Amino acid sequence: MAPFYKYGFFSEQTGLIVALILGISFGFWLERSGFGYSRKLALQFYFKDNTVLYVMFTAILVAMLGVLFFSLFGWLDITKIYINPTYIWAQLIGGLILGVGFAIGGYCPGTSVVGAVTGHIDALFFLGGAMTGMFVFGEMFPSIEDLYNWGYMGNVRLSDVLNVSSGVVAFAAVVLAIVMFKGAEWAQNRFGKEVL
Amino acid sequence: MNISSQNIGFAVLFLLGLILAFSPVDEMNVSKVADKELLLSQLHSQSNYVEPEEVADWIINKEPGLQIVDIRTGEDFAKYHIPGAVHIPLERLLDKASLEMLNSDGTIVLASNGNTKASQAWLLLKEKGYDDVYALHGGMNYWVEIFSAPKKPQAPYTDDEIFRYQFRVAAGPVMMGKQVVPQQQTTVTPRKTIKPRRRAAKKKVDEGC
Repeated sequence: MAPFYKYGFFSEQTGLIVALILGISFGFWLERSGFGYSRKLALQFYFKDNTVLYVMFTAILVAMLGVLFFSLFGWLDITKIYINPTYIWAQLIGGLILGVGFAIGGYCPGTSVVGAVTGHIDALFFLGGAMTGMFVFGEMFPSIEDLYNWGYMGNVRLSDVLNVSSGVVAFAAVVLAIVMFKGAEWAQNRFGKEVL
Repeated sequence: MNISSQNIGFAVLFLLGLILAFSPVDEMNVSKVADKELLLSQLHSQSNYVEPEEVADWIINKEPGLQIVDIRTGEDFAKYHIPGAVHIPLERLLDKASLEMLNSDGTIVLASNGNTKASQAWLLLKEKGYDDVYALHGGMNYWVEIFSAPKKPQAPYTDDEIFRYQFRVAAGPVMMGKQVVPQQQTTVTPRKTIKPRRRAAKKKVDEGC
């Protein structure tokens, strides 16, 4: 019965090793998808290259279907999975800031590390900027603490908030993904040929 | 007929999603009963306890989702309780009304007079499926002892001991909900506030792309 760590099949140390292996493979596949290259990432925002959308949404769907089906088969105790707490307004604002930074810098935090270790100079600058941002954030944390905790909702899932079964949410996510895939394809044909 | 591989992929996804929408996914994960062996090992290694300093730190930091549950008698609760604590006597812990009061999404800290009853309540709540539950180490007796009159560590002290002492002195007045007593003269001048440490064990892991 998974999750293995929560059921004590391996220790915290082993967990760290597993995390290292997972992290390295995550980075490897990001690089293989071309995510170590800022121009490729930024092209998403101009509908010229939909790789980011395809890769990310495929990953989300595979993980979601996997978790739910495993839980359905009784292989996985879903209540033991850690859910990031939701701070709805703080996360909306943070998401917007991250999006702006992504469009300007051409990287998101994970891919900037991938870019940096594969020798892209712009990624190094991006990382430097991210570090500076973290430092500033840390230093001014007391004054923005209320903002940071704004809209705390606990460890909720969409199905809890919308009060429907998680299967229905999963189905909606699949439909949304297919619509987005098709929409992105259409947008690429429509806008992708414009010269920047 | 010409079927692209993309459309096959979409069809498979759609089908899997459709199956999920009509399957009892949420009924499957009601196995909320905690693993007995795991609970036993946590009791044995005392990892069910949380230190009073850490709780004080959470209170000062206004840790979201923190709920302190006082399981002593009403009499004791009326005399003194931790700031912000709710009162649920141990014998009524599993009543429907009590369970509704508990914050199942957040962190629950159980406080009794000592360790024993809090640990028993901890076990009950864990079995009920509450994940993030701790028993206050030393209970209210120890809490009052260290925050009302913190003892200065003896001469060969470690940094950690002096740090704890400073924290107790600084946090004491707030924790006791009393008027602030003037700082007595000590060889170590406590800084105006001790920068609270973030909780180490439960540090949340940020993930993302």
